Amino acid sequence: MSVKQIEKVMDAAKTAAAVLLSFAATILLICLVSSTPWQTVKDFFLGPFQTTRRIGNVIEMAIPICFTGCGICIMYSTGHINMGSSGYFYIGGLAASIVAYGLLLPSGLHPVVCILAGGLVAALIAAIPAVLFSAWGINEVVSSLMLNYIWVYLGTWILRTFMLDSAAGFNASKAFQETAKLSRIISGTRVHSGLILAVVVVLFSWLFLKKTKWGYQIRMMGMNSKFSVYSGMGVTGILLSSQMLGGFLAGIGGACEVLGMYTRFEWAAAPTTGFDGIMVAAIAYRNPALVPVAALFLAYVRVGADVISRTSDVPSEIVSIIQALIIMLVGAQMFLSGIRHKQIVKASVRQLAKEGK
Amino acid sequence: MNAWNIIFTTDFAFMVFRVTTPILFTALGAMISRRAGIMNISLEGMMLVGALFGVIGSTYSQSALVGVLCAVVASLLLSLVFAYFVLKLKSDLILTGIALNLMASGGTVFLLSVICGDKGVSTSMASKVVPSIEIPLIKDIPILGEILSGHNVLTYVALLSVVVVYVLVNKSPLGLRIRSVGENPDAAESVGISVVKTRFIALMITGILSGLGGAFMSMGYVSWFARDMAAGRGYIALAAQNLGNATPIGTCLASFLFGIADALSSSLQILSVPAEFIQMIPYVTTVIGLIVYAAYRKKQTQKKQAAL
Amino acid sequence: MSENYILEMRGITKVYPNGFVANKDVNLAVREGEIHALVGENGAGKSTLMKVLFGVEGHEEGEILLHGEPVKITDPISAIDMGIGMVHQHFMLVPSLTVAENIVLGREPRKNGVLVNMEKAIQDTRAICEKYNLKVDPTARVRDLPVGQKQKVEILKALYRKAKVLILDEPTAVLTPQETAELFVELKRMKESGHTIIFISHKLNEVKELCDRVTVLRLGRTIGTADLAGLSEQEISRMMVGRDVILKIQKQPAKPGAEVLKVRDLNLNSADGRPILRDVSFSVRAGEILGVAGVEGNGQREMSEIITGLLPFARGEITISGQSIRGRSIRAIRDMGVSHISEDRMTYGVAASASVAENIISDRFQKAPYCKHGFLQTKQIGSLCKKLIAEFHIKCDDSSAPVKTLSGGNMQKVVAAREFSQDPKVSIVNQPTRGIDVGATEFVRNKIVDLRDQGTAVLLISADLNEILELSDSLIVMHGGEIAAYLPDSGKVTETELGEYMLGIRHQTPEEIRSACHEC
Repeated sequence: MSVKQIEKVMDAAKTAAAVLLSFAATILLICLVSSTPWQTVKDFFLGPFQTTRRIGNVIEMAIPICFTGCGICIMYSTGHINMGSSGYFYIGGLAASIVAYGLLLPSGLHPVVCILAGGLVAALIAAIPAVLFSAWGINEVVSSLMLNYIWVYLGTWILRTFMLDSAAGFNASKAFQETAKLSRIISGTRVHSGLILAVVVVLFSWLFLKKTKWGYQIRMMGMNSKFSVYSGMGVTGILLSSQMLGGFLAGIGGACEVLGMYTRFEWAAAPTTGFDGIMVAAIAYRNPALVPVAALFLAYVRVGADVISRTSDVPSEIVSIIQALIIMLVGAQMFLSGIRHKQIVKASVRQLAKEGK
Repeated sequence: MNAWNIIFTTDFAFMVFRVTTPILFTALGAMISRRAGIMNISLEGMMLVGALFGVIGSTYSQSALVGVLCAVVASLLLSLVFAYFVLKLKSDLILTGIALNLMASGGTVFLLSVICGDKGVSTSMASKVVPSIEIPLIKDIPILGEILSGHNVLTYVALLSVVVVYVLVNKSPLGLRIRSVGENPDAAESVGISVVKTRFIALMITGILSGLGGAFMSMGYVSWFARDMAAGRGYIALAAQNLGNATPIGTCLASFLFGIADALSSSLQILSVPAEFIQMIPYVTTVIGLIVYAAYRKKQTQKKQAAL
Repeated sequence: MSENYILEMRGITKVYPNGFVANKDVNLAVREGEIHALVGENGAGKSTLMKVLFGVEGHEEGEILLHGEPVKITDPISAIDMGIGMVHQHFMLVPSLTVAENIVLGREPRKNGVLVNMEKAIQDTRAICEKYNLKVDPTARVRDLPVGQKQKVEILKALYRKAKVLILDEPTAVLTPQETAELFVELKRMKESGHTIIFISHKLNEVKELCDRVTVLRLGRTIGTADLAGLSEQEISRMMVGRDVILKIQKQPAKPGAEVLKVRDLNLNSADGRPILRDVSFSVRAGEILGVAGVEGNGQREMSEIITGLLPFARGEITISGQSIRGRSIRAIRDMGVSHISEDRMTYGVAASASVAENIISDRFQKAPYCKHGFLQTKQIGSLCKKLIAEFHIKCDDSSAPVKTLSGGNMQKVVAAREFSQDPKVSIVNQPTRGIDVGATEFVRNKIVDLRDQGTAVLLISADLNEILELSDSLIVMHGGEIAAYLPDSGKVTETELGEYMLGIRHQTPEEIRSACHEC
């Protein structure tokens, strides 16, 4: 086996081990907390598959995560991580909603314009942490996290002041035009046509990152930024454009979610989708092709937690524990590193023997 | 009622001290991590965990002191997990921090729900509160007395911590080693200091301080735990130590700056400015503070370069 | 016999994991109370030998004796405990701490067991300052100190830990002449109080002035040990600078064409004001290889980085075929026909986790036929890689193999394949064969000659004597940031002559140096 193949296999093994360990921890927690542990464990792992509706839930939950996951794959491939996906997702949904109830457009065009609006606004605000870093060296993690709060407060004010439908009875915007909504495509579920766009986005992200010159520059910068500079690549521009593209994708994800799952804009806070995207990008090793698998996995875990929160006394927040453990184990270089190292050494020795040293 | 009437009162100044307390504790913790060379992103999680376990501990022991101890221990444990993953397993610093924050955010709600059946607040639990005390002589001083006396014990502990941290960092052998490990790990290794061990210790101290910050939030500022009650203070604390140039005094001053912003956002709600803008103040202040500081630093280095 | 030898290293052999033999059967015997010079060119093995002595590296063969007894030195702490102190070239100091704090670090005197007893630390510092007449202010912060003072602190650190044998690694590299003079006074005083000093340097005038005996290393072996009293600098130079085997490289005489790379009055200062490059002026013509000889650290790397755009420059003029490079981006400079093999391939030359193909196209991925409408054309890239892998004999599974799985030699061939394959006008080649195997070395050198024959102007910077003397057509020697000599015919240069220029013993007249600029 070549070294490259060994690396791939070890990455997969690491992910599998991380997942198994997290599941083990989950089972342990369930046993500690639930009064009906065996039933609860069964419900958690098998529940999502038991009805069409639940399978639909898994798919519908995975859709927006594909958007943010791909966006983060692109952003993080430069080596710079921007934590603002929550904010971009939220603002994307907000901007799309405004177009959705405010403009009158024919039904083929309306969703497109909404989604584009969401993406563009999100792209603009995604540029901010990148600019702050390039101009003044301000740490992007702190700045993007602060901005997340700012965007949500701003959005809430805009909702309350400009978008509110006072007849609605709760904090929600005016209802979307029928022409803007995304239709259901799988009967018996709430899965909407945003699924198609999600597939397109995954394909686009993979092609972009692996096959275009921009993706190439992004990846090289992440592997050795000095090499990029030495080869003549413009790293500031790469950073900015990758962050904006990531923001755009998160924004259209928010737009799709809003248009496909709601009739009005009613988010009181940024959904978890932004941070979910981070986890998904981490376990997909920044490869967009693996994002759907990771997203479905996360959605499956979420739905499972949801099921048991209703059928038993285990709260759904157990998901965050699984998420956290997986992220940390997958990100740990030293996890299983001994085995990886041994295999690589073996392969290198074979290689040298081939070269006749 | 206008802004001036609200701000320039002893009530406001008193509130600033209250509100600054959790930020100050955590920022001092962040400062120690930073001095050891680690940007500690998991402060938010440590505060949350501290806040919850303070409530749990004090409920079951019916003692505020035990509650505070539980808060500190819980936060310390989280910091050990962080330290283990980052220092031993060489996990990505940022991903691990974010993951721990996620775990704390969800995990505290999980635990809260399991213990008292409520996912939002812990008010059904009979948790204890750390008392406030008047300081004998100071309370009689005209204006200062109203501002400085009558605070929660933990507020005074936070102020004392500034002194303790100052002494620790600048005058103790451990502080010396922490600083050397953060600035020049090779130099430290060359005289036999274990970089990993020293960093572990620094992260543990951060855990203790953040735990105190969390304990104050649920046992002093208010008397319950609510989901995500840290509201980003862990990150604001990080920004504060950045602004304070990672010195105890500077961090203290920067924390007060953010405390003022926080207090403003509570006090000015009765004005006709939209609530959301006022709630934004601490976060906007952080971003602006970071920009101003970074621009200033850049100007300084540019001046130095031009002089050559 | 071991009379009076406080320290002996016998038969030390050190082989690095990649197979490189840094020390082969090296012997070093130091008498108590002497100042012993350890000299050799870069790559001679001096640093490695001292790393072995100080416990930073292990050794495969040989033994170390202290006061005649064999000892095992496993890490710096055991070395320190045995009385060996090292003053590193790159200071191991913590900038924001005071002098006293740096000195007592790790052994802080305690007050009440809890706090640092700063008064005692300052007292102790003052005491050793007095004893060795090394004047430093114990309360000053290290970051505020000039370099000479920082070095004193390093020395005091070792003395505080009761070092009897002090190793100084190129101590005068960063000092001003005044500071150097002060240092020598201090070292002589330390010798009088019974310390033994190992002085690593390649500055022969200093070695002559300060030391008692000298051991010369070359290419990992001991050449000899001698008393300095009867030895001239020329004789030492001849021992240091020489080739055991002269590797002749097959090449036709050069047919230089028009001037392509013009460098005039290049000046550069370091951040603390020291001159790195001083009035450097030369030309490289098409179809010639101009070698840059010199001990490392005399400005060569900075010069190559300025010409290729990695470093900005304030004073001077650099043109490629008449077009100035001032203010241009690295990409623009590359588009002007400049290629660059950097000194350290791992830092700049390759992205280790990326594939061979991705590394090869990094300078041309935007251009046709490798890119069309933004998409990378895998077929064209594939055939380019196939061609280059064959042409450059790169041993790898295929072009998708990560570069880090290749041997050093093959990695360098990837870099060469990229930098030489676009028919560059100018090629800046820095240490092209460092750390790679013999086969790859020969290959790369032949490729450089091919490049020259195709009309490229090659600037070859190398610390390898064979390379410089055999590969280049003419050469300049750099010393102290200046050009010390221009030698138009490398074939006629003797090692002795070269050594003397490299080590600062000889210097050409300004007129002779100016002929490096071919004003045509």
